[in-house]
Amino acid sequence: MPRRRSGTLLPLEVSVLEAGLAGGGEFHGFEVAKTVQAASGAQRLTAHGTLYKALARLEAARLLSSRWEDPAPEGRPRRRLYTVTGLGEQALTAAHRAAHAPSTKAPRPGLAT
Amino acid sequence: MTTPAITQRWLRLYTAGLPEQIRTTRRDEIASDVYEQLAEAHCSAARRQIRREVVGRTARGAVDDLLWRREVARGMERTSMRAALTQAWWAPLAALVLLFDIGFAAAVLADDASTMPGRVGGPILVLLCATALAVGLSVRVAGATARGPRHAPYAAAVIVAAFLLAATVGGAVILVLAIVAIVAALAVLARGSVRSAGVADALVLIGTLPALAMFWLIVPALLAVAVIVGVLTSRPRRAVAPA
Repeated sequence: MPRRRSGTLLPLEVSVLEAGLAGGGEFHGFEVAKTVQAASGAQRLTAHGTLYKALARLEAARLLSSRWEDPAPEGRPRRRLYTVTGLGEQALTAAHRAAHAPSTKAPRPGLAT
Repeated sequence: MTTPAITQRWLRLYTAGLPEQIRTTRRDEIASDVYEQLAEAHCSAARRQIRREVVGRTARGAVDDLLWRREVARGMERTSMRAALTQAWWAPLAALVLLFDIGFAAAVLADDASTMPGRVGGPILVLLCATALAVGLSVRVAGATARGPRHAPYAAAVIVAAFLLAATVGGAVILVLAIVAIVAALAVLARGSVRSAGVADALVLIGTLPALAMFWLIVPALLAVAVIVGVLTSRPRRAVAPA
């Protein structure tokens, strides 16, 4: 598991934010698992522990907000609905920018053309 | 459409001992997820296949479940410690009074010349006061996360081991160490059954009595007075567990 540097997003967290923004509104856990699977082309859905730990951390960092369905629907368990916050959008933009930024490593002497 | 038994058992296992709100939130969220996944099955064969996939998701996420649990537990500990330090400024002073109580009892026990009165009864009374102080203090520091019963077997084992060590090896140093171990273990045992902040405060006040009684030593008595003022002027807040 990659260790998080302060202020950075893990790949799954980026995927969750992207999936959340792609839906354009509120989303629930299973929905985001399916979207992430479709976007990444993975064979399997994200594991429960991995997905909900990521959601909990994003919410703790205030990149997501959540609420429970109210009133509880009949015939199925109530869903916890998440929304990407403004801070979440900014963090995702910053993550995209960092991913596409050119390497800051100085070229080694002798290799420059 | 029910959640597979393995998933339910695992959920119960790794959320055991966490605050009710956190447990319920996690269980409801997984129940909703599993329901949504099972709802995609169009026939019984597909449902069996999806149930296997659900169990697979549970198994693959087990390590992250445990890491999540550890993060939650650490968050609770940080919150309760912060609450204790901000609301109970007198807690470090009370810890010093506790050390004084234990040292006082040990000094009376180790007084070979028997110049101090109450060679047997005195230390017992002082140690009872020290235990009361330790219990009251630990309840205030632990806030809403007191967990005495789970540690009861270990605390009982420590008490038995300390008694055996003191009885078989003997010596002043071993005796003092055994007393400290027994006081700590009794505090752990009692903490689980003391929930009321009022009772905790009363226990802390009882623990200051030996230091007050030795008022001519000045410093312990001043510490005791500061602790009493602190206890009477501060109210505990319950530690807020992270969601």
